[in-house]
Amino acid sequence: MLNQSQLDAIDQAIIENLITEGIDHVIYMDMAGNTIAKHDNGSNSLDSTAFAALAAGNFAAVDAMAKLVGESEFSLLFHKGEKSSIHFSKVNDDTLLIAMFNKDISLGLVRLKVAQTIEQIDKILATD
Amino acid sequence: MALINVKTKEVQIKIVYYGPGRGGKTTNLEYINKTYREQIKTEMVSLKTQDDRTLFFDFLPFDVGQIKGFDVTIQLYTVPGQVKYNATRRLVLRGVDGIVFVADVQKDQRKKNIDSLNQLYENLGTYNLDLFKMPLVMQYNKIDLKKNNIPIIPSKIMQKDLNINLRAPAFEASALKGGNVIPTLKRIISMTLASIQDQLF
Amino acid sequence: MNSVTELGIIIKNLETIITDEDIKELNLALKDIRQRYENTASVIILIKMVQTLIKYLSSKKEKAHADSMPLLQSISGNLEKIINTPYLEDNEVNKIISEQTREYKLFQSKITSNPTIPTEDIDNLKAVILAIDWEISDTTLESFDTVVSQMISKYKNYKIHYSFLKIMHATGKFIGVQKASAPANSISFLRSVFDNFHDIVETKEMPFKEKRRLIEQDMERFQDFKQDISKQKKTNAAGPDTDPAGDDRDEDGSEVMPALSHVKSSNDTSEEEFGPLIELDEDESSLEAEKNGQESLHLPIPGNGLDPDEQKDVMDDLFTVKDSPADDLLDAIHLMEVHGDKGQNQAMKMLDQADEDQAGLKNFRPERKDTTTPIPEIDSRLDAFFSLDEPDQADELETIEDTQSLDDISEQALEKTEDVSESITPFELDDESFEEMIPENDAEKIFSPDLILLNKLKDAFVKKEYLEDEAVLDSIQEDIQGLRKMWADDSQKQSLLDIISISVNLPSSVSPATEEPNTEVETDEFMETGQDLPGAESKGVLGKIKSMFTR
Repeated sequence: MLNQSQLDAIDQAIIENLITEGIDHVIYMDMAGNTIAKHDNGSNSLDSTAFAALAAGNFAAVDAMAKLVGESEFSLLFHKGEKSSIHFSKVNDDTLLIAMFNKDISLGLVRLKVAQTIEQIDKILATD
Repeated sequence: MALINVKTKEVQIKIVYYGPGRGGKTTNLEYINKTYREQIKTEMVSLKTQDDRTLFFDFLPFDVGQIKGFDVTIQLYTVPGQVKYNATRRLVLRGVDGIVFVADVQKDQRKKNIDSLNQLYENLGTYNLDLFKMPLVMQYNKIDLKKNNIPIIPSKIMQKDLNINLRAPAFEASALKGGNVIPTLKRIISMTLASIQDQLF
Repeated sequence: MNSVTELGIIIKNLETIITDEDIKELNLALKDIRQRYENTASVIILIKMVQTLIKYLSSKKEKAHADSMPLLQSISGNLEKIINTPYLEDNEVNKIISEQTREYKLFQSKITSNPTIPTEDIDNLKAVILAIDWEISDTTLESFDTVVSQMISKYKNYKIHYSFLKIMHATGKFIGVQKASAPANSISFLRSVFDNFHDIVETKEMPFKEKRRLIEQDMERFQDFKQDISKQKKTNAAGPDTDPAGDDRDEDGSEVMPALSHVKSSNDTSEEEFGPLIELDEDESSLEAEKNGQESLHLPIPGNGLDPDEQKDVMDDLFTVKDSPADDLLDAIHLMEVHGDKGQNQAMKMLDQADEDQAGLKNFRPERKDTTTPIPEIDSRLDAFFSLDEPDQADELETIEDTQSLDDISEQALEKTEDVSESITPFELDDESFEEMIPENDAEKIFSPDLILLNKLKDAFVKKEYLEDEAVLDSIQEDIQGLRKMWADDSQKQSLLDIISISVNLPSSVSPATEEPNTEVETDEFMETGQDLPGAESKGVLGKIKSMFTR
């Protein structure tokens, strides 16, 4: 479990690296579909409970598919929409980071920023 | 929706085990899979959380052999039971042909059973399906807990709570130990096939 | 007639395509003028212009720019003016020259702004930019750099193209350096520069003015872009916004309305009016309870909890299963996530499509008709399928019977009069449990030495020759010893080997039919070790089997 200071630090990392950098929604969640932290830039609304549950199922299903084709996991899980797209990233075996973004920012950049954020989260989680 | 290939003489039906969280849906399938490993040649797909809650669905397909020249395949699914997974439940229900409602007889689960059944009715509505018109079997699971002095709801009350309007066949069960798991399954398969037998056989 | 006038006449009479004759004549005239006015700078300048133009015209011939002739004429006109007009003031001359120079330069940029850039180059550039759009890595950045640098050196003479390429190159380099810290619009800026570049290449008739406007615009944007980068990033201090994990909420309701009462209400509570209620015998369930205790069911496909190697192994089997509706379902869930609530419809449409695609198939919605009795074939098939007693499928190896639960074996031991072959059945189970415990792929299974020995043992038991033949019995014991050595580290396997060797020593002396199932021994082991460990279940199983034969 995470203590309050870890949660605060994670919030900070997400806001600084992602929300202020042009990403619309970020959800940090566990593999069971529970939201640990969520942030957005106010641009649109999202039913995050259903979203997180489905995201967890989606990730689990894709992970199972990876094993079916002989991969331990897929490194990119990304759904491209007309206006909004979502990017999944595994933080560790227990948690996921989902980033939802619009056309103003490229996937390449999102991936870099997410990777950077995850590095910071890993450090935060290691301090216990 | 039952899939019938008249040319290759194959029939596929989808049975969904539905009910509140931790009621025993997955346990039903696990028992079936374990007991009939030889006959069920395919593996069960189970997408679950670390603490063994169904996250997405369990899926167990198997062939039962030929009935009047048709190869019959049964696809068993379970839905995730927890309240927050309703969106996923709805998707798993798509194309369902027969339903087993697995209710938990523990006293503190009483309302959950009812809520789950009501929600099932709503979810089916999104596909223009009527629960009252579907092949349906009720299972009152975990009756073995009586012996452990855990307060359980008597079957009479279960019937009143859940089956008073539906009037589906009901089975007391103990999925963990296998009690009435197979009879439930046989019944729902039989009912489902019977409802399409005119087109088939 | 002086040479200038002569020049003027020649030029006037030039046809669209300049001939070698013309060139000769022109050069002669120019040489003469040059000699005469070698000290007059203005004249020299104009002569040079004419000479360059002639070269251009002769090389391009019919492909020469439409403005080349008019320009030539205008230059020669000015040349005549300067030479023939007496007392032309200096500033007048300068004016003419500067005017002409401007015109000339304009023409120059016109002709140099239309290089033919092959589509291949454009496509390559597009590809590397798209690659960066998707992934900013050393590989993608390197490819981008290579392509753009190549194009820069190729088109360095074409100022406008060159400028665009330089902007793109600089932007790309910058992104490469900044990486994650690059501002959000970096890539979209790069793309827009490329789009403008693409436009000017593709649009042949684009007026020069437009091209210039575009490049100037992008240059300005590039400057802005650089400025943005040098600004400080503001940090937002937002409070933590954590959502505690949602739990199921249990509401306590004293008055409980039956389900679906809002849909249909029935006041009739007489029991006959319900559907049939099939009860579960207490005896049945208690018998099960004694045998299984709290036996947990081992999942064939474990979830997140288990070893990835094991998962992989089991998933390999799934690979051979043909396309199932479960896959369609998974795709539908993907769709749903992208579009939220709207996605429900999209997901369903997608699944509908999947159904439609299977042309020539019928779909039926089963309706529960309580009046419909299933045809007898349905029930008899189900009974046959779900029966555990008879060997439903005949296999080549006759001793491998249908999978039996542990309870059934002990039941059989209790109820049936068995010959020795029945007692062999548990060993089949042992073999299977070995395979479960060793997560190897199929190739390894075929060639591993212990499996070779195991198969040998299996054959020996099938043939039952050891019952009569001492030699066979000895060889069995040898094989068992061999396996013992191979599995020295595995206590579970050692136990299994014990059981096998014990039973081999007992063929004539003990009839297992008279044994009673011992349900007391070693049920603690697997109760304690919890649900997730596959080993736990087999330990208990082993214990029971062992106990059956050691009493």
